[in-house]
Amino acid sequence: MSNDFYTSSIVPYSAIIIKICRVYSNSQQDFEDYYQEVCLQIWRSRNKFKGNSKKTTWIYRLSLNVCLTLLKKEVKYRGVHINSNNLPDQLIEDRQIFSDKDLSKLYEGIKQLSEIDRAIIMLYLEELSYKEIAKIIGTNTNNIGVKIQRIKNRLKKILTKNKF
Amino acid sequence: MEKSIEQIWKNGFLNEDLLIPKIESFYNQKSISLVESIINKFKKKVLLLIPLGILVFISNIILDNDNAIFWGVISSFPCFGWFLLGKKQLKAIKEIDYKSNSYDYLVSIQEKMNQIRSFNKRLIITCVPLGFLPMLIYTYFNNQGKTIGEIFGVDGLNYPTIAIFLLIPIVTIIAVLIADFLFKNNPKSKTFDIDSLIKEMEELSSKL
Repeated sequence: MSNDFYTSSIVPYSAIIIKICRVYSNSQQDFEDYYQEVCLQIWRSRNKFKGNSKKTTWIYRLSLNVCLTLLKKEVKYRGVHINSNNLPDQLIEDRQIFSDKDLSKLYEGIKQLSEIDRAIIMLYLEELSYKEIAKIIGTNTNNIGVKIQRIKNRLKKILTKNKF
Repeated sequence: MEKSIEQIWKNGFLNEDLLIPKIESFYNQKSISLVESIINKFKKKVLLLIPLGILVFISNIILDNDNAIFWGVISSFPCFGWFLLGKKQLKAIKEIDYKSNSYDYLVSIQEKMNQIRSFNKRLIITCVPLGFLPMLIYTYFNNQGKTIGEIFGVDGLNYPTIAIFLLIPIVTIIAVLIADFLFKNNPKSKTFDIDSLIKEMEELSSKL
């Protein structure tokens, strides 16, 4: 990965990558591994981007695919699904990653959603259009609105339950 | 007033200084896991030679050849010999220490694997015709005066017995083809993964 490539293709999108990787990782180590794997995947797939969609859409899709693949491998390896209820204390502490406490708690709440719901709500919060979200997730645009509303309600319940 | 999740997200990231992780330790884990996988695969192949040798021995008994046990031992010998050799080669791979960085480690493993592959290839190319030679000599002395066609029961091959030795270059060519097939760098193989990973690391080196 040349410096040019890193500067032009990774750095401008690093916020997107960080946000996604944070949602799917349970520790700082995991996060760094996820981040690096996404960066490498972007670099490996650099010639596959044909410009049919926005570069950000492509980055979102690729980052989500990498994170979900890594998550599946991890779950398979550990034999359990990791959620906030069975995380060791050390890992929960690792979650206090943002200086903004509200944001940190929101992340905790998002992490309690299913893998796909996490992706959808993230894309929604990133202000992507329903069409773009549907394209990234691979579903029908009509379902997205309803789905987002349901996820938001679930998220609110989680945040209330966590005394947010 | 309670903030909405949209506000938390937007405002939170406005003030957040996102630290970009460095790309560095990623390859350590990846290279170790790849080498472990290569060792396991190699070990399985080596262990497979034992049942293969037994199978060859039993086949001789079942086929009920003359001196079946003798020929069984002789024909299964390459499998057991290769098993011992494979164990030695496996030990040599395992003995490679993790160097100061994953790149050096992978390069050492790659060199060792290439050495082993090249040695095994030469071994097949040399040993197959050599192993075939005693059989040809035996056939030659026991079929003096017969034509090749008479020896193999094929009409029209009216060549003298000595022509049986022409089989050596043919067998050698077959051995080369088999060795090429067995030891070619298959894109699905783990050694191919090492080559790709090293290449990738070299390209990344400017950033690492």
